[in-house]
Amino acid sequence: MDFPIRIQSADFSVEEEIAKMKAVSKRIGGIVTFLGTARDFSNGHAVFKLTFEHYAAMAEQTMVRIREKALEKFDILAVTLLHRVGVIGIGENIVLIVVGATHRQDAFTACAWCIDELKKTVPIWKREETPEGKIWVTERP
Amino acid sequence: MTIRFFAHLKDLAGVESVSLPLERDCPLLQLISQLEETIPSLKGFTVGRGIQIAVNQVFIDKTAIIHPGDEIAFLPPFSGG
Repeated sequence: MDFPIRIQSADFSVEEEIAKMKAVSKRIGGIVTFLGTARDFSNGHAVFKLTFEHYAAMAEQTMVRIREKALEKFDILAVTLLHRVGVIGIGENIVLIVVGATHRQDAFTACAWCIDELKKTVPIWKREETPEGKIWVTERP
Repeated sequence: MTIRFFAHLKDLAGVESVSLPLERDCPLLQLISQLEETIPSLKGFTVGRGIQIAVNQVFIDKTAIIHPGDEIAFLPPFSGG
């Protein structure tokens, strides 16, 4: 399978990522996904499109560490973390977390933990194009 | 030694990165003063306001010593996800 940590400009397929995870282990009994998408409204203003930039080496290292920690901390079997960068249109995919576990509760808990950690610790920044101009979102939503 | 900027700091600096000549080890705060003299538009924006600083992709605090060849990055609060 592809390396389960990826930062890319291209879109991704949730179905394909789930299929890849199913191929990892026959012990997986539940897969939980979080898919973040681009919305057209934020902090009281319209949003026309988003641009994400990242500090490549550090962002990838941090995502690798999130995956490793999740695999240690929770009773789960597989984790995939993907994030897109570059220009993203409204409604498009931004981020995907996929967690596979023997049982659902561990997968739910780990998936929520992974997206929270990603938002807090991965050096990625979002710029919104709004009627007032282009605005960097440099506070945690 | 290279200094990198991201998000609004890159817009303020007007460049993605800058190289400052550094012949010997230097305290981070001294380097910041030198940076703000080189790029005055960054004055007051490189410390506080949730800005974190990384050296060679590792977070450091204000007491850090910078070495020639280091990569310094000024990181505004993250907004991925």
